[in-house]
Amino acid sequence: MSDAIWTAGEVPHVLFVGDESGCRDELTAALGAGWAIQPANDGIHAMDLLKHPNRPASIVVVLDLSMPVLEGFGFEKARRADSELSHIPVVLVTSHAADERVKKFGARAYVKRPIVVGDLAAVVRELGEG
Amino acid sequence: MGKPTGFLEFHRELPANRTPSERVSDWEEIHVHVPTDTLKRQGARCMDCGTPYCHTGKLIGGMASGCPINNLIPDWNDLIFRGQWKEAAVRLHQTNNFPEFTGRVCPAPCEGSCTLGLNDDPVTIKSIECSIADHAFEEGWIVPDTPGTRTGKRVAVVGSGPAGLAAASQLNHAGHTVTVFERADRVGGLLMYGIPNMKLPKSMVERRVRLMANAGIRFVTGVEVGRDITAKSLLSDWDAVVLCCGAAQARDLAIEGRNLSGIHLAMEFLHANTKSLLDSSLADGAYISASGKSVVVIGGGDTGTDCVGTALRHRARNVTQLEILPKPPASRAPDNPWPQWPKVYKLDYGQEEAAALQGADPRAYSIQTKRFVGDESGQVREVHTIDIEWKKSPDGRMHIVELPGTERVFPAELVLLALGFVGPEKKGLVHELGLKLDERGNVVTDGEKMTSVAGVFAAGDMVRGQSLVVWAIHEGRKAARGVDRYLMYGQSYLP
Ligand SMILES: Cc1cc2nc3c(=O)[nH]c(=O)nc-3n(C[C@H](O)[C@H](O)[C@H](O)COP(=O)(O)OP(=O)(O)OC[C@H]3O[C@@H](n4cnc5c(N)ncnc54)[C@H](O)[C@@H]3O)c2cc1C
Ligand code: SF4
Repeated sequence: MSDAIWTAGEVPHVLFVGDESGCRDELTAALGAGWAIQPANDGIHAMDLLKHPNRPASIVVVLDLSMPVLEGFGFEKARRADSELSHIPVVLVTSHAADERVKKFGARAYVKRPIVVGDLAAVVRELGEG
Repeated sequence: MGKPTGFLEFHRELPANRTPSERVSDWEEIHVHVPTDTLKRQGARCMDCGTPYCHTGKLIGGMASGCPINNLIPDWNDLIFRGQWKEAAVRLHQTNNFPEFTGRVCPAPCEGSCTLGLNDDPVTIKSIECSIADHAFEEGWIVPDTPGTRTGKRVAVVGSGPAGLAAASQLNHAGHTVTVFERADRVGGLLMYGIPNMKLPKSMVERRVRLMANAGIRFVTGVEVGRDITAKSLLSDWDAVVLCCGAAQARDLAIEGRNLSGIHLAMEFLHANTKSLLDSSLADGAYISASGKSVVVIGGGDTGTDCVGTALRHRARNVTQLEILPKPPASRAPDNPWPQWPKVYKLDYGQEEAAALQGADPRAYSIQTKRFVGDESGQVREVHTIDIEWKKSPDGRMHIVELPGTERVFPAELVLLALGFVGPEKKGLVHELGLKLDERGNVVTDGEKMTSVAGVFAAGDMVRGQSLVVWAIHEGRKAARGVDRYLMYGQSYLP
């Protein structure tokens, strides 16, 4: 089992899936107090976290498609197939917005690379509140 | 396809075995290498028939027809004909983790369903498979299959026979961290301690295990799960468990005199022999010797044959093999047509050696053992038998009728019971986990190879009952796919 578990308690969380460590800190600052960020290295780690009994009620997933192990499409297939998790909003981070697979992906929101942190924070807040 | 007219031009040629009298004086492999030219001609015989059966692995009449792991046989036959050995080795490893084992010990159901076998001799598929694997090892093309990334999931495999090794190999390939537990002192299951060295050199099993260890798989020997550590502790410490413990419960013969000394289960004889051979070239004497003895092997299957071959290498005075079934016909019976597994008379290596040394095939057919008689010291001296006939009952079942007046007495100082196996051992792990068993006593699994306990999978003889190496590989691969899907939330890229 993955060791990392939700430690920040019952606050809204961003589950940050994939390696965007550079912007993680900036996003924390942009979102301000009241939000916590939970990183996941890859799709399998993210699924482990979502299936964890301590999962907080409010989560927005920020997903990078290209990851090792269980990549983004595989993660989404697994998440959407799970009735407990299928409602969770996902923001897709992509450099290929015009790619057919990405278009068909059907995420709740897209953010283009390079990430503008202010935009991402706004999207996350909107989805988190919705 | 091979050569369009290949099957018209070339005949089937099998690798030459060393002569029986030469090979019974050592424990080395009975086969010799096949020259490349011969192989090319044999590959050329493959017609790439429109719908090849050789790779289907379908069960017809309870027996495999075609390769159970769906080896891409016509592909590599063609590649060998064209001299593309490396590509052939790659193609072979896509479906088979251990072609150097199957290429030696598989009874080759593929050949029984080869289309050429309809009115000619089938392609020498097994020998081509073996040569591709050997060639790939010689050229250094077989390297550790280390995964690029790790999933962080931990899987315990219990049992290191072909099923456990195939499962471990596939799971490691998928990036899971795998530990294999084995109760014996060496890894390999029946590949190591069942099948004797002359049929499958143990150096080849060790070579494969070394590659797997170098790819990141951990092997823990001398640990019996269910005794040295509890099966339940595996459940709490690992993300998934795969049980590949074989079908080690031997069928015994509960007749008068069974308690006499000198009567052993075949596996006691074979295991101790290989262990002593590997530990000390038999110098430690820690094996059951057949030297100078009259040996009676009861049971006419593979295990019995291995007992015959082993006893002859000990320099037994003579060896007799008793088979309860009738002698099979020389060619297919009308109710056993192509592409079914051909139930025909075969002279396997052990019998061939006995025939060379003793003048005749050592097997007596349609014969039942009635009792063992010993001397005053409690040592077995005689095996008493009676000939039988197989008759069909009104309900269609076959039953045995003893033929009065056909009683025989075989002198015996060593009796080896090779009567098959009745499923996995029930005490220990199976009992502790409360695994559901079928009416034959084998472990029940679902389509993903998961047992009645969530997160615990099973494969190989433990599920099928006593079977074949190739089926164990098939099972291990299938269980790995099931485990991968289980751990990866329904996703698996494993074939
Ligand atoms: C003498 C003999 C000759 C044979 N010859 C051929 C042949 O020529 N060709 C062919 O295709 N097939 C042959 N077979 C059949 C073939 O060997 C088996 O079908 C195959 O090995 C089954 O593989 P497996 O992995 O399921 O189990 P096994 O090979 O039986 O391996 C099971 C392993 O699990 C270990 N184990 C069991 N319980 C535990 C536990 N609780 N904890 C830890 N370890 C445990 C055992 O020690 C063993 O090493 C032969 C069988 C025998 C007995
Ligand atoms: S594994 Fe057995 S059945 Fe499959 S190709 Fe090899 S010899 Fe034939």
